Amino acid sequence: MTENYLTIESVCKSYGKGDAAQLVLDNVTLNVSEGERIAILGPSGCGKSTLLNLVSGIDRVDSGTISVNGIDLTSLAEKELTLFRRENIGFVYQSFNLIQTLTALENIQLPLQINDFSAGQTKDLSMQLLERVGLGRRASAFPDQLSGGEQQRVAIARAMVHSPALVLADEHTGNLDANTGREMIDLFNELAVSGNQTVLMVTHSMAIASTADRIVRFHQGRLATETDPDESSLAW
Amino acid sequence: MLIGMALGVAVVFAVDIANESAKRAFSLSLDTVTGRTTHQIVAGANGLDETIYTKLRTELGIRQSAPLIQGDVNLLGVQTPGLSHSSESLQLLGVDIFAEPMFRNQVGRTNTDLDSLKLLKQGAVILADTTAQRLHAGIGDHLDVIDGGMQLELIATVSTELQPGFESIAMVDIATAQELLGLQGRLSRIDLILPLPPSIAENNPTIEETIRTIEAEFPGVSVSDAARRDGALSQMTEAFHTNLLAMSLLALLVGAFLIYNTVTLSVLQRRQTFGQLRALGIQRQQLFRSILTETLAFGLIGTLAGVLVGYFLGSLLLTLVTRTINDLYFTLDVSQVEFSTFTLIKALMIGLGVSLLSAVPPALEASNSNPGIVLQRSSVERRVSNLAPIIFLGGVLLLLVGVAILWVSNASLWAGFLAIFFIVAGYSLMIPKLLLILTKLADRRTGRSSTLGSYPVRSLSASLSRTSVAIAALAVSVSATAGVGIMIGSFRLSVDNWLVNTLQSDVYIRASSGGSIPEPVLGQLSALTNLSGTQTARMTEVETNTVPVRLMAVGFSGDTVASYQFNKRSNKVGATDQSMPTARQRMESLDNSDSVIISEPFANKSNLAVNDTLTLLTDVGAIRFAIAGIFTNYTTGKGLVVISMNTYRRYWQDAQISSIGLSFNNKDVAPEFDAISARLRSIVANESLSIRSNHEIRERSLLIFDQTFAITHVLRILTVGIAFVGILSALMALSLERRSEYAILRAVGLTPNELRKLLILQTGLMGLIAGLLALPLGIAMSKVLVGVINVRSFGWTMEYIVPSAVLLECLLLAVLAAILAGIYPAQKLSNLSPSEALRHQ
Repeated sequence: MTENYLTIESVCKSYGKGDAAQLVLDNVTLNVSEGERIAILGPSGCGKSTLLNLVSGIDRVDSGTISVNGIDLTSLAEKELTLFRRENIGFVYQSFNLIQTLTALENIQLPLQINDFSAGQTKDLSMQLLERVGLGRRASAFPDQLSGGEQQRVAIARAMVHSPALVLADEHTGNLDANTGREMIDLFNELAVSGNQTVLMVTHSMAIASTADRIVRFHQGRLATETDPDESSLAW
Repeated sequence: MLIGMALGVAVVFAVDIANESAKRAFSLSLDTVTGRTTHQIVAGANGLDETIYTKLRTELGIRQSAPLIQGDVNLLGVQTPGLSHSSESLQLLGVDIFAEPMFRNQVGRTNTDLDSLKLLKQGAVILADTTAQRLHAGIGDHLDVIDGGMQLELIATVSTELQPGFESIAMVDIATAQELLGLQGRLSRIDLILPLPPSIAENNPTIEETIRTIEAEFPGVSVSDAARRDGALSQMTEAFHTNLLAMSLLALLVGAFLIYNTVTLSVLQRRQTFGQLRALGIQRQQLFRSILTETLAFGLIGTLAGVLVGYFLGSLLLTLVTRTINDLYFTLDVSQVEFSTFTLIKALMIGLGVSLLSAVPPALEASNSNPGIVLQRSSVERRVSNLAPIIFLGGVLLLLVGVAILWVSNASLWAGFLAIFFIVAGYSLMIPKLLLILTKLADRRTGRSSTLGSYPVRSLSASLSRTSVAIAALAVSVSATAGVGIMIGSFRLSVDNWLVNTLQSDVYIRASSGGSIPEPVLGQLSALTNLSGTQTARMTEVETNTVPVRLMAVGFSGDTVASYQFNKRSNKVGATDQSMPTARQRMESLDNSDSVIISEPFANKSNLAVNDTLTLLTDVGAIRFAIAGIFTNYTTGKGLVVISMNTYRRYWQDAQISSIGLSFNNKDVAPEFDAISARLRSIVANESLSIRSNHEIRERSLLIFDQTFAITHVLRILTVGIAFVGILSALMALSLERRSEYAILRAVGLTPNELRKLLILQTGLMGLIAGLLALPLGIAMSKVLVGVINVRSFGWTMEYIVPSAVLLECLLLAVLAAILAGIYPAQKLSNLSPSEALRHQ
């Protein structure tokens, strides 16, 4: 693992203005190595998802810096940030967030087309990944024709199809039953490890967190503790 | 929501009040001219001998009578520094000041204490105060009569508040009118108030007895009912007003789409709140009622705003309506916008009614679903998608009803409009299914190459309840543009062809209204070198047994050809093209018999055909003339009857000539027109005659044609404007619904600019589909307008052409309107914060 692939330095973020302003992230600092898989644990509203949004560049920090592979995301203009995101980041959401009017295959093709992959590459890569997530026969199904587990498989495939260096997962098993959730984590980890992708995943589940290389805990917008998964599983 | 409602109501109210104001002004103008008159004594083309009036009063003792001269006059305003030199076309009313108070007391309503005897002064005129202001004229000022060779002195003004309807009138003494119109010793008519008072008339004769006595005493005159004559005049513009009303109803239909969309949008914006309210236990009926109550409150505000905007819009439209009436029918001057309580209530009911009706589907949608489903838009869309084939069949049924109405109704204009309404409504219902088919076809093409290309196409069918209504609104308004555009194009071409055929002479010399070309001038003109032929005409107005008509007596000499296009369709005799007599043969046959040819609108309105007879009041009494042909004619107003000059002079003691057409050996006189004109001017010097080349007349006629349709253009623009707002509100609704999807696209890596382009592509596609769907409807509409509505409204038949430029223009208009409407939502969405949108999901 290379040192400090992702560097989060003194990041603060609040929502609202004036008296109604709510500090969500308070001086958060975190370093992540390339290929490392980090699980972020913490109660609801502690700022976990906000941190992922900031790292993905779909939200902006109030102060502090976030660097990915040496590029300071906080200094990039909106367009540059989007171009960086489309190439380097994959995002898996709790509520799948598939485009309802596109088929499973088309949802997976989307990042490849946005990244200007050729038509042949787009077709081959997306079909290969669809096969890997076990939905080769459901390629032409629309999201509302798929089960929750199937939808999340498509979402994982979409997040990873263009081989982004950094994959973010926001409670990606939160809407699934325990068995399906476990299957999903195995699939997710398998794909991430095989692609040597750096992972930042938010979860409530200790079981899921324990599959990561490192666990960080959040409390009231601050990074509370960092633990080894083995120690954590003992503690829980 | 308020803007949507206000716009829909504004257009309907504006057209309504413009129509109503023009109608009221016309009615007041008729009242001003007719006054308390119950009957009128009229005679042949030359009017009445003024001695009849004297005999009427002295020998028959009918003192409730007033002589009148009526004609048209163009007054040139007073030249004022810094202001343009204005002119006004007015009705000239020549009255006998001593008989007038009994009939029309305008002199008693002047703004100044007028000594009524002042009107007896030669050239004295009384105008409405508003007309005088427009002419920049004060009391004592002199106004030039255009083409009349004399001046009128303004001696008093009449307040239009005291005497509404006076705006179109120039009142002079009868002697002044006779001189101005060249009618020395003649009267246009004598007004009567019948029955005669018992104290005056012996044996208390009935109205019928009095009429019989007058007609027996003065051969060649007839007594007609004033109200019936006024009614006939009012009917002339009825079709024009009906057409305007139909355009406003079309705007209302598009406005209804708009109101539906805006109400839906307002409900949609709060779907989550409604879902939460339902989850908290609010009952369906409570939610339904509260949505309707709220819509009613907003509807009231929007409607009131619409009425206010409509009032100002109506003032602008009134100018165009009045100009069209002036160009087409008669002199009418109206500046006061008026509306009745009924019109106001109608606008309020339309605004509130359409708002409430539009609110029912979204209110039901929000209240009838279970709390969980309220939040799921896709369930509604799936239902709409499943219903699309049934709605399509309903549309086909309505369309067939429309066609059936056209089939069974013979001459009813309203039935024609009802048929158009059914066709438009039916076609609109077919649009959701057609949209699904078109998007499927488009998806096959775009989907093959790009997922991103599929996305905007599929979004259209995925939000069918929103997109189909917006596309239907745009398609209907663009189809109206196409339909009216094709109709105007066909009409213009027909009028142009008709003008080319009718204006066979190279130069026309015309006497001022009611006047004639002096005999010596005629002699000098026929001695011109290079002249190949002349066509003389005498234009007068005569009574038939029903309505007054324009009678044109024509004579030809030399090579001048008869210039009438005869209508084969109107002939009852089923002659083929080959066996039908030529135009020249027909004209020559007029010389040898008591026959006339009549204009097509007059034939259609009066249900007359070839070989029927027409009774005209001649100087030797009522004579029945055979109808030898029906010719194409696109002039409006009173019917036109053409008779040969020889026949005319046999029955009317009138040797005067109103106009003369000159044909030259060198056919292209345009470059030499100035020289010819100068030569003719030297011949007709000191005469108030106008000299115009056929090119000039044709250009002026086409200019008037274009001005006539200005109002239609305005209404079409307004309708497209409403559809534009409709598309905008539909896109706003879509952007709300699909906010999270756009956020996902942004999160996946679409830049704001790329998202903006994608959205513009989507709205452009909506416009393209609306444009494509509008074309068949537009062509169908134009077919009905040309083949049914124009024939039933004006009695005109015309050629039918579909200019590809009009179709292309409509496609572009639809795409452009949609793209323009898409700019704001696209801009707004491209700036959306993906994290915020996803957080609120």
